[in-house]
Amino acid sequence: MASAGMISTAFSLRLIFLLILVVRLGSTGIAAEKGQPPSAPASRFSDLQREFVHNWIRAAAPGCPREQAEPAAVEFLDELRRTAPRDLELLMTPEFPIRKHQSKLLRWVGAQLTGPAQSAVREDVARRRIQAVLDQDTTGSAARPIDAAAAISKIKAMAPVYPRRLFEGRMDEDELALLLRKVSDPAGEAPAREPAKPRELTAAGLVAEFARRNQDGAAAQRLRALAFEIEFTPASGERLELFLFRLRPDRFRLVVRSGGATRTITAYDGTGYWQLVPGQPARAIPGSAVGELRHLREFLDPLLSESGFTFERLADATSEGRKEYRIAVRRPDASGHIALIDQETFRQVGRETATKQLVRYSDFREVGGLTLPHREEIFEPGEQRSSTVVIRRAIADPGLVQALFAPPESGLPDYFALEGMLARARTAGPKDSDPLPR
Amino acid sequence: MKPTLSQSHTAFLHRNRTRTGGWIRRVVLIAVSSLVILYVGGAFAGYMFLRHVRKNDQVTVLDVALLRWRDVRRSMAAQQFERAQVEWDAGNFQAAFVAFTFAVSNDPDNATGRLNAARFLQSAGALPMALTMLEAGLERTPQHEALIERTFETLLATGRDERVLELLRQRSAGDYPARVALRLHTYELQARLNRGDLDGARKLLLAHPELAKSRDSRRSVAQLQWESKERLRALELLTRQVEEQPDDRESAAQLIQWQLVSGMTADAVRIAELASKRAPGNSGVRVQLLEALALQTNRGIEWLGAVEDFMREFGARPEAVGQLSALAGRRGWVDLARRLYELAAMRESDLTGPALAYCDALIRGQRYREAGEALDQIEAQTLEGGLPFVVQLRTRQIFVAAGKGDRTAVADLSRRLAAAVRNDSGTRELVRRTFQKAGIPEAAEALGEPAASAVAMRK
Repeated sequence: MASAGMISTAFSLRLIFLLILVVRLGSTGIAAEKGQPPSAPASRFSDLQREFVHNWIRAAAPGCPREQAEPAAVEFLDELRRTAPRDLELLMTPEFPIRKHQSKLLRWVGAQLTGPAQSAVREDVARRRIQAVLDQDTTGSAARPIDAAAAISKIKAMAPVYPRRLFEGRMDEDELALLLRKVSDPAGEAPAREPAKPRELTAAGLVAEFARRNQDGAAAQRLRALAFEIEFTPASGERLELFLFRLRPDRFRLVVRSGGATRTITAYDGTGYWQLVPGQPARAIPGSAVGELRHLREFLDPLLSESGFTFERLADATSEGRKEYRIAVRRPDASGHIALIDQETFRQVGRETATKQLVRYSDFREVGGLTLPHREEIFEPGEQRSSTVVIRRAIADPGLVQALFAPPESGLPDYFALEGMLARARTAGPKDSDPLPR
Repeated sequence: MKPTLSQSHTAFLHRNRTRTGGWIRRVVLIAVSSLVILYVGGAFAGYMFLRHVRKNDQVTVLDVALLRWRDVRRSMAAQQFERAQVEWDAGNFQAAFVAFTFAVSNDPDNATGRLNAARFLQSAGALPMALTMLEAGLERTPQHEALIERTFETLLATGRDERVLELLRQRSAGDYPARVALRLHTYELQARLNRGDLDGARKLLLAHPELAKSRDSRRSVAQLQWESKERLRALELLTRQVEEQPDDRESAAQLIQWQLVSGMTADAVRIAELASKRAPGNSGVRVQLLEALALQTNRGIEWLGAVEDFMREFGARPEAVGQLSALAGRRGWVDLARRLYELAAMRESDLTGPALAYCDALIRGQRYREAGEALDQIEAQTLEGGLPFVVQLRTRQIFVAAGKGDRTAVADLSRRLAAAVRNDSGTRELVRRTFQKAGIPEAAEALGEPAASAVAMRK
């Protein structure tokens, strides 16, 4: 009897252990199904694994902030552990199939980007995720080739639930594959939310479309400062080196250099204009004497600015076989110009000024999420030769502060003396820095 | 004659035995042959795998055949260390990280390789991982001097003084040669000084009087004297150190600062000139000379000439202009800091460094409103700043708020800073000390312990 009792006790204990195990497994599975992280997931993975995935996120989604990259890494590792434990073992090895899991990783990154100010980054991550899926799809399952940007714009034109689920990382791999098949299939194509026929657009519509096409998300709103290094070659005369700094809302500083030395500095500090030339103290300039330079106070092109300008659509024109919209831009002070917008690309390809000067823009590149021309040709009325402006370097938000735009303070050595010293600096001197970690 | 029964039985048994013996022999032969074939095949397959799949050029068939696993792993590690270095030099941090990690796990007793991997991790900004790697190495090869030096010096330099004391408690100085033991005592002395434990440091010095005589310990001993208000003795001791060890730049830099604080500008200039002569290509040392000269001549003609020389010699190096900028910020020379910032705007893509130096100068000159505005502008232009940036920015914002007497802002900013450094005990401790020394107790208090949420997370 006693032995029978012991056997039944042992059996009961085993049963209890089994039950506990089943409950634990069940709860983990349920949590996983719901897409929730099981409790304390961080402890399941080593620092190295998390750091590896974190580095991967930085490479795959550079816009993702660190504080969001860390939980995304843990979520991804958790999914990998559940769905592909063999691949998890290979994680730190060169055999790890990065391409296969890139989309899953980006899905978790998107899911972490919940802030209202992160919509642009979210969209970018979604675009990269689609690109990863398309890159991985070597079977040609898509009905016809499509690129990620086109796919995103088509998905955005569908019912709002699709882009929302995609951007927020709530769309799993199967669902995304089906969606991509749908958007790449011409028969099942959703009605595109493309702008109405160009000719029907009003001036306001054109400006809105221009703003949409020439920035990434709300880049124009985010941008606080810009710095340009410019090479200016006038139609006749010596080549000049210009540095233009702009800080919101209306500060600017224009440094004109030639032969490696500064000739003039003209700036606006929020209250007035001032100018500095070598050998003289800074002097204030009345607004009336500044001329066209006053437009440098406009932080962005009027077509990208939020308010303060009026627009009127003029008759379209054609230049070198390409159709252009013409929009009259007027400032509150009644000055203005005509902006020329390419009908196909929606880039501002030119500008006609009140003095009949024609400026043609080209070499468009992205700076801080804005698409800006990096080359301008200026044609004066009645002149054969043109002046050119080439932007050699453009930097978004480099760390400009108000002091850069304010008149200089006294003290030695002054700006020009210091610049001269730097100009005479040896290009290669002896180097014996303090020992660095490496 | 017919065989008898017993004879035929014996013959039967013999025949049977012979048949059984032959069968066993055959089985044994087949088994042995199979084993040999398996062994040779396995060794060859293993060799082919290591040689062609793992791309290990150094492995030999003999290594695999004789099961020299340790040698195989070492040779693989050596190759991975080599590859990691190549990737690091090429700036491929991810590939270098993977290669270093594998190399260290394949050859965990290779202290030199481990030190290199730790250097890589530190340069890549993964300080906690570098420290973990160093400490794990110290566990495996506790007598390796370079490893001891690197581990403790990194811990001390990053504010992890408590960890230094903890590691030292786990060790007995008697287990080490006298030279290493002395070094361990020096680390303990420095850790105690960093923690403000002057009594503990004094007791240690009493227990180990040899520390006062050792050149390696003089700087720490001098610091103890300086903080114990025995400043003249501290200056004398460090002067002796600099004269006897003219290449000890850290001691020279410390001595110059103490001399400047004590108003001994002529002595500071002399020491700085000596250091400059010893290291003519070192811009940091020259900046110390500029600092001493500026105070001696009140930034007069001689100083202007020295600045011109400095710019001519080092102006082509962005880090040298950055060092001058930092000096201007530290000394409150607003005009110079601003001009260097204006010039940097035309040379550099990221102006955060010179802009923060300009803010330092404004704070030093008690121009808090301007400094606050400039810091706000820098913050608005930085979408994603790493931890070092956040620490630098918030620290200055707290100084500005404290300068304005805005206690609410100090408390708020301190909380935000504490949240940012919650997972980095070393940085938290360094920043806490900064505020303690600067007389901003609210900020020091906020940084005293990690936020409750962080503790909960770690649990």
